[in-house]
Amino acid sequence: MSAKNENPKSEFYHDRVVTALVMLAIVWAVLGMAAGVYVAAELVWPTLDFGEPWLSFGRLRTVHTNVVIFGFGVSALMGTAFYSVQRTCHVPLFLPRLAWFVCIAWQIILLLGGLSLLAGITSGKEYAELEWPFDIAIALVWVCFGIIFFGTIAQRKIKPIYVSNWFYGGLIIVITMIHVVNSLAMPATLFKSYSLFAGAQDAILQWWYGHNAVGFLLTGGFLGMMYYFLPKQAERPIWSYRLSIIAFWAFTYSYIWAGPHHLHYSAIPEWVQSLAVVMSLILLAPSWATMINGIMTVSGAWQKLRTDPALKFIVLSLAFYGLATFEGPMMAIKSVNVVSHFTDWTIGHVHSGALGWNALITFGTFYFLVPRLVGRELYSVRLANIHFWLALAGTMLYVLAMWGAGVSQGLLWLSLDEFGELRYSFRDIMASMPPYYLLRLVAGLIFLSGAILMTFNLFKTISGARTIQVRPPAVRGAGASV
Amino acid sequence: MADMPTDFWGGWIAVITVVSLAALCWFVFSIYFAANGQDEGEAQVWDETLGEGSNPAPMWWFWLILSLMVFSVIYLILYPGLGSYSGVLKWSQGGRLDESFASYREQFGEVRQSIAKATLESLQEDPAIMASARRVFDRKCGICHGSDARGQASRFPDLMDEAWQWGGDVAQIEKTIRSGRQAVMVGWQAVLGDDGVKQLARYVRELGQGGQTKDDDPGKTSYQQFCVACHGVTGEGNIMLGAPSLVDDVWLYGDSAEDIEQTIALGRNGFMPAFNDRLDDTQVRMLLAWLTRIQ
Repeated sequence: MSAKNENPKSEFYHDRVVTALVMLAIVWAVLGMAAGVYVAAELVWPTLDFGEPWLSFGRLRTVHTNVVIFGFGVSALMGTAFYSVQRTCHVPLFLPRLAWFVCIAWQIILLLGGLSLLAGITSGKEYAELEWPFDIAIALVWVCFGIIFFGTIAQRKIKPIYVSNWFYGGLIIVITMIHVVNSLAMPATLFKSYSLFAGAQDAILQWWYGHNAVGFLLTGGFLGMMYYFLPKQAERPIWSYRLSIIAFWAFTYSYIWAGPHHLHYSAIPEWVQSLAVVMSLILLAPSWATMINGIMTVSGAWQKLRTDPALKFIVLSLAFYGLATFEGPMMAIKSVNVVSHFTDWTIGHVHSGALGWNALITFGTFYFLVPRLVGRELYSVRLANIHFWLALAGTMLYVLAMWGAGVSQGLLWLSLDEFGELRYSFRDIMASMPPYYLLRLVAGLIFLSGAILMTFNLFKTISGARTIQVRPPAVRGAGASV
Repeated sequence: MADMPTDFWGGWIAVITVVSLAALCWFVFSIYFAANGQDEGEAQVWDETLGEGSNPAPMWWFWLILSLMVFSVIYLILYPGLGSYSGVLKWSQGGRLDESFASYREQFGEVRQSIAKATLESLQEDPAIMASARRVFDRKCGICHGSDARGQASRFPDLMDEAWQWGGDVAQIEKTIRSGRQAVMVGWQAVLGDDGVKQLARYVRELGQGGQTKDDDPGKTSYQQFCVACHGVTGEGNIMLGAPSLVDDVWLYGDSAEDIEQTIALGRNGFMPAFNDRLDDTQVRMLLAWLTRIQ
């Protein structure tokens, strides 16, 4: 960033598209989380849909998941990938106009896709609900994203490829593969298609997709974010190169097998389930390796945690990452799965990852990134600190509420009376849920209010400012000659 | 194994799994214990302070992944995982289900046998059994008939009143539960026309209220011509056909003029599914005791 270090002959970095993607991600975050809060309220007061189909839980819930994952998550991943790949390669983006196309086309897909979900148009595949015209558009935009990213890497001025880029690269390649295969379908009309797969095969493929969307988008992609923004913010090198390379390959290898743990004790072959158990357990090792690598990177810079809200968010997100990646393998063990499957425990697990890991690391990254993009101080550090506590409280309350709800559902469903009949009917158990669901609603509101504070804070930071222009530095270091 | 089209695929899965796991082990350990050379890139700086440290990976992590690998190997020896290899324990999902049934029978077989054979009165005297029966009803029947068995939504009959469309004897109720019922009331719109439907509906409502109707009432004429076969001369109904009584002031599909006109004009199809395969003898007995209890 320091001007004296710049290479005067080079073109500027293309950062305006990064600013746009970050701002759009924030807008999607607020919309998606608000939809989440609304469906949480519907679970407490079911009549909140007012009889309107588009307000019903079934439609709004898919809007919630699609908007937070593909709106907030992917926009943030694209923005941070574009920002960090330029700086770790010391070259401006390859095909910057294509980057603008990716940014805008992605937003149009989300906007129209979200409306189509509200209208009840769905392919019925979880986390891949959008119908076939959207699937094709997503594949095209995703390939363009890959062209820009790998094109930039191909032009790099530093020979070794920095570890964050492996993870972003893994995200682009694996998501292309699983999205295309899982979405293969025969169109019947413009908004109706039939999957190429049926029955148990369809289920296995769906969870191969679903679990690896969690794996390579919500985990791998955000690990890329962590590997760049955490050491930058701590102003320390990544703690252990060795641990990062072991973790990357062990993570990439074992994740691909783990999806069928969503289908334990179902009509899929036993060997598929057993391999999913084994690979899910092995997955614990690379996950914790990454967590340790991140946390040790901050060691020696702990004093920053007192004053720097961005770093606080990122370090806390690693703690939740460690928690969720321990819980996941445990839930993949069949005897635990018997209790946890089909209960709110799963919802709690997902949100300890989605809120505690994905959202927190993104918030921290944005607090770091936005002031640098526009060359200003953050509008209010105090508001960011308040946001930190709201986010922590919201996540903890959410996870506790769902643990309470999920574990009691799982155990009550298994409970028999002295005559061998189920001790509690489904209705009996659901009748005991409102306190948990109310607590979850409160948790969601707290988390959402923090996100709104951040939106205000970052838009104030950015308002009236232009994205500053930065040139790549004059190259130094061992691998500089390419 | 039934899910493999040919023997080849079992081997294919086993080889890929074993070889790739071994390769992962080799990769992890070779990097873990490699000499800490200067070529690891620690001198490289990517972006201002951004670099990679050369700290060795901690030993506890090595023990963690080693123990997970050892666990995995043992698991894959014991349980079916490597293609068509069925594991030392010969564990199978179907076998697990059989075991579960066997232990269920061992634990509850006797008490369930005794319930299936007990008199309804003795069951009705035991509050614990009646509470359990209520939960069976709630799980299996409540979705339509309501958890209080009071019926729902002008579609599903109230089981707590005196009216039993297919007969209220224990044997008749048992038949209804086990085999299900299909009631058919045909639509008479085409035969009667709009006015005819209205006249008949008015007559049927008066029938239940015991009103005096003139013999030349066109509704009465229609009733005697079209309805008596099922609902009887006096409107008492016929439990053999599931034709409800029209004089007991119980109206499953609603008692307003419009509701009855719609029933006559378009007909109704009352459907109770068969539960013989979804309930065992004990559960049927519990339901019968619960439904016929004196409140």
